[in-house]
Formats: sequence, structure tokens, C-alpha cells
Amino acid sequence: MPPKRKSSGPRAVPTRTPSNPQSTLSFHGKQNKVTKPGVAPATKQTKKDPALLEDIARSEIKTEETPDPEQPTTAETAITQQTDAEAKPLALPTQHPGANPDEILGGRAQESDLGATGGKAATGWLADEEALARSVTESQIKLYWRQKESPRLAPRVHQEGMTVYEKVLREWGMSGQFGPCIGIARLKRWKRANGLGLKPPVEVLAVLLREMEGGNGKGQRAYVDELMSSRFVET
Amino acid sequence: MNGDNHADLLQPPSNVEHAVSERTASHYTPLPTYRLPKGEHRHYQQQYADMYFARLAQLKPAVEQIASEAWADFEIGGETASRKDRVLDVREGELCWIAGTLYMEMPLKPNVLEDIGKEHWIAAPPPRVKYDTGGGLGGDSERGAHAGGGKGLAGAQIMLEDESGRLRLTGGYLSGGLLVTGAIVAVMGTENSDGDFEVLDLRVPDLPRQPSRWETEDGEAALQGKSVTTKRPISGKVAIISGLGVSGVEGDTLLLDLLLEYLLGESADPASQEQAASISRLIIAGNSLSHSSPIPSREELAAAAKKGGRKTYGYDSASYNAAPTDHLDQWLATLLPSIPITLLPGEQDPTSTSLPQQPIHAAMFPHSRAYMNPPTGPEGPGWFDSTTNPAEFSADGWRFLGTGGQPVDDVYKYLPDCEERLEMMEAMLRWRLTAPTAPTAPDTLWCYPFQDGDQFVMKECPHVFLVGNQPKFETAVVEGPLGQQVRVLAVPRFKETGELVLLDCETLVPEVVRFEVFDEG
Repeated sequence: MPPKRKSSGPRAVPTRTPSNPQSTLSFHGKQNKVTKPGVAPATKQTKKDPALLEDIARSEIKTEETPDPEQPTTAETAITQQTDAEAKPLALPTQHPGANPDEILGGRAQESDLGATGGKAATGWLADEEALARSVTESQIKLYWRQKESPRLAPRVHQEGMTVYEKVLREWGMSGQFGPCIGIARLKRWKRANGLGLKPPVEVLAVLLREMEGGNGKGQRAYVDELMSSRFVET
Repeated sequence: MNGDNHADLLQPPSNVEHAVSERTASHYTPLPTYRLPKGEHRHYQQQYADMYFARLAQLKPAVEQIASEAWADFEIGGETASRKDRVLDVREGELCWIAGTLYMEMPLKPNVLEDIGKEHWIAAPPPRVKYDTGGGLGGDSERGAHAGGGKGLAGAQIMLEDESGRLRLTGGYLSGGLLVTGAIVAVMGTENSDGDFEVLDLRVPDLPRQPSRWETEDGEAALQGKSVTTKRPISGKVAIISGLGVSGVEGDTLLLDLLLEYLLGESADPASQEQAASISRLIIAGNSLSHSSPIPSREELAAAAKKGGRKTYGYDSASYNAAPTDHLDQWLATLLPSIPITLLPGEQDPTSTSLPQQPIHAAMFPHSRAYMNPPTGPEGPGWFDSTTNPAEFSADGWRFLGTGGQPVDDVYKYLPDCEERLEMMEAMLRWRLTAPTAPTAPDTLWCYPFQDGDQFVMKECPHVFLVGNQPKFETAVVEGPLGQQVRVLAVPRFKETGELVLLDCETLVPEVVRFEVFDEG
């Protein structure tokens, strides 16, 4: 307990009135409680199995503060981190405005390429896919898309206002043979499918690289991923 | 040798200089296969579907190759088996074969949806020994599984799934083999009128390519441009121990001290000391501490609630007891000046609870830390290597794959009539899913959600597959189709059996040294 102060006395400063004493430090009291509030013990000593006591279950359910819709979710930040990690070896201009924390903090330690998720080569390319993809022309992409559309009897509904790039990328997400599209950036998914030998189409990679060059860093998250994890904002 | 060994001990002091035997050097290269990235680079927002997809994509080519070789000229009633691309493409009455992931639906298997539904209503059932109806509860002995007899799989549904869908499997063939969720298999048969697939034959991917001895070291030397040495010194033995179970209680120190004296060559006669001098490395395979997992078990939570007062969720600093870690640290620090040690964490050790368990942090070992590599120093094997569980390393040229026992224990729960742990280990090798996703992860074995698919399947066959924390010592040699030979070792818990396994690195033949304390009471 801090020593008791006397606001009145010979050494009291005349400007301080008794009704407005000097501010004190306090290490006790409700505002300064450091430990978590404990659960009040059961008043009745029952002989029930402790596992049945509802206290255990209930005390663990805490109401969380409503999350701020402006802040990105963990899923979004993870996809952004993946995009950045993929963008680094591609030597593209970074898409994030604002300060780069690496520069402020003076660089970071070398990320090891080895280990459980570092995998094979640091960049993830097997051969010269990147060069091949950059040499794909617009007409090739359009031809690829036309070939995808021609077996269909009717045109796709609700896709009238979309560019060819966006349509190609949505089709890429919906192709189940390359794995789930949720929770993974599109480029990383392409690299993974390539690494597993599933032969993903190089036109999709061309579209992805062009999108990234165009500065559209947000296009790395599959559309269905955004739909599935959209937050319900109460109005 | 000059004279009787015992006569050497019982002598008056003399000026004769005794030769001090030197320990054989150990060549050790740890592989960082199971290290996860640290901090913010480790993501948990991805789903486990990525894991199953990547596992299937990696193992499907291998199993299809084996299946096509086996069933290329198979004929029943003039009909040959054709290959179907997707599991749902089978047609009734047509003989065909498909490859996919096994899924076992067992009534007593922990099901997360049921858990959520039940959690507020009834108490969870006690942990089961086996997940089938014949298995019995955890209180029963293991005889419970046999009491179910051949009906052990009653109530369980076995399905084959791939990206297109699931297909139920039936047939008498299934009760013979070892089947667990997550194994990639190819089955041949036909669809019957119920819509189930009747299985006539089953194939697994089998063992992958095995590197030759010293291949890791030679490969690294070649990459770095150094000349490849062809002459290697004779290797000694590797001591493997598991389940030390240090709990800070005085009672368990005697066995550990005996072990310490044996390994340091301080005990017994010169012949045993020579044998101890040939031990070049000690591998501790899990459960060095008996009670230090950060997540309290259900019984601990109940006991804490019963005592009344504050219920502390998770870590309670007031009740932390530093004695076990201190004791283990002192023991290791006494041993380390003489012998290099590789430490794998286990289920009860203070590290992550999901596989792959990351190395026990150097902060737990204030004295033994001096023998580890500093974090900012060069990457490379330290004298004291605290490594992951499961761990892959190359010791004396042989490729070792070690786990702390959790994968095998989990597979054990799935097999109703099988008590043979060696059979399970052999099956795990043949499925190419030893660790960390020992086929049952992530279904019933906690696992990190891998997204890239790099570390699921076993790409190269190890020479030694050691599993710690098993009830008794067992060993066998598993042979593969391309001439691979794997020495499988089940290492018993030291606290209960007092057994230490010595593996000779020239012949890969294990032997057991047992420490016993006679109780006079």
C-alpha cells in the first residue's frame, strides 16, 4: 500500500485544496486488477461428477467484443502474406501503399527455405514456367477461353460484365482437380498444382502474372473464398 | 585380455596407467524435414482438405502403377479389370479398379460434430482403447478387443473417397487387411446392386526408393564441391531410449543414475566399459518428462475444479513445478560432455501438441544449453540436438526416421483385432505415411494443416524406423519390392521396463540392455 499522504499539514502546498488532493498511485482496486477474475466457488457441495458441473463449461464461454469490420481477418492477412511471398521472386513492384515494416525495422532475418513448409526450391518453380507464361499472348488467352466455352450449350449466366481475366480466374478456382481453392492464394495454388504434377494450364498463370503486374494485388483470393468467409455486419 | 576381468577390479592401488577408452565418433546430419516456420509465417487459417488433396495427388501415381502391374492380366469370367479415373465412375456389374483415400466411419471414433452437439449436455465418455464396438472401454484390458472377436469391425463403415465423391466398400476381403482412415489404396472389384463396391483385391503404394548408406553426406559434400571420401571409419552403436518419464519425484532417480553410469562408462567391468565406449550417440525418443504437456487433461481440470476456488484455465503459474525439467536438464548436462544426444519430444513433453511437434526450446535446458548451437550461430548439428517429433536424420550414414509413438498409438486404436504393433509399423511404411501424417492425421491425430503437400508422404525409405513409447521391445526387418530393407524398432518405455536399445551401426542389429532395481521391501 502506498504511504498515506496528508493533504493538510505544515508541508501542504497552499494551491492544493483538500477536495482536490494530489493524485495517488493505487495498486489495488477494481481498475488495477491484474489477474483474471476467478469463478465464484459453488455454494452447494454437490456430489456430482466434476465433469458434469456446468461451471466448467460456462466459465469458458466469454463474450468477445465485436470485431472491427475495417480490420482484415486472419484469413485475409494470411492470403496477403502468401501473395507477398509469391511476389518477391517475381520482382514485381509491391502493391502495398504505406510504410514497409521491413525497412523501418532494419530488415529481417533470412527465412529458411528448408523445413516443413519451405519445400523444394525457394521460389517453387520447377522449370521455366514463368518465362513461358510471360510469353503467352492475349490472343492465346482468348483462344483458351473460347475453347473452354465452346462445349457449353448456353452462355454462362451472371458473368456478362466480367472481363476475360476474371472469368478465367473464377474457372481456375472452380476446377476441383487442382485442389481446394479456399485458404490459398491463386498463384500459390497454381504452383502447388504444378509441383504435384497435375499440369495446370499455363494460360491461367499468364493471367495471374498480368493481374499482379497490373497492380491488382487483391485478385489473389478466390472469389468463392471471399463469399464463404464474408462477415455479417450488423446494421 | 590379460587375466580375469574381475581380478582387475579387486586390486591394491598401483602406479599402472590405465588406458582411457575413447568413445567412437558419431557422424550425424539432421534433416530439417519437419521444422515448421516460426512466428507469423506459420498459418492456421487453411483447411485440412488441402492435406487430403495433396496426399492423394502425391501417392496416387505410385499406387496406380503398382495396381496396374498387379492387375494387368487379371481375369474373372473372361472379363479384365479396367481402370476408372474417378471413384464415382464405377458401374454395376463391371469389374474395375480405382484408387483413393480410405475413410473409416466407426461409431466410437471421436467425431467433432457430435462433440459440439453433446458438449453442453453430457459428460464425454472415457477415452477408448479401440474405436470399434468390440473394443471396450479404456478401463478394460486389451483383452476387450479380442472379446469382440471377428465382429470387431461391426458398425464400422469403410469408404473410398477422392475428389469426386465417396464409395462404400464391402466384402470379406476387408476384414483381413489393416485399414485405417487416410491410407491411399487401390481396390479392385465390382459394384453390387446395393451401390456398394465389393472388393476382391487391394494394393498399397509400398516402400519408396531407399537411399544407399552415406548418401546424404556424400550428396552434401558433392553439392559443396568437396571431394567425396570413400573411406569411412567403422561406426559404433547408437543407444536409443524412450519414456524416461522424469517427474521430479525422488523415486525415479535410481534407474536414471544407473543408466547414466553405464553410458559414461563408470560402472561395471572393463568389458562393459569397452562396450559403452562404442556407443557413439544417444537418441531419446519422446516422453522425457512425465507430465509437462501444456494442455491439462480432463482429469486435471476436474481435480482443479474439485479443489474449489479459482479455476485457472490453461497455465497456472502458482502450481508450476520446476523440479522435473531441472532434473532432466542436470541429467543431460552430466551426460553431454561425453556423448552427443538427440532429443525428440513426445506426447507429454512441453512443446506443441500437434504433429509435427517442434523442438523443445533451449530455455528449458539452462545447463545443457551450452552444448546446443546458439540461435544466431551457424546452422548445423549441435552436440545436443533438440529436434522435432517426428525426426529424420542421418546417423553414421544410415537414414533414421524416429517418432515419439503418437502415430502408431493412433493407428492402434483403429484396428480392432490387431495387437501387433510391428504389423502396424510395417503397414505404415507400406502406405508411405509414417509421419507426421500417419494416415490418421488429421482425422484423429492432431496435425498442423500443411498446405503444400511436401512433408506428408515418405519420399525416401529410411534404413531404420524407430518408434518410442511402446509397451515392449520388438524389432523386425521389413523388405520392399525393390530390395529395400528397413529395420523397424519399437522402443519400450524406460520408466516401466528399464530397457535400453543398442543398435549396431555396422550391421543394424539391435540388442537390449536392461537396468533393474531390486526392491527390498
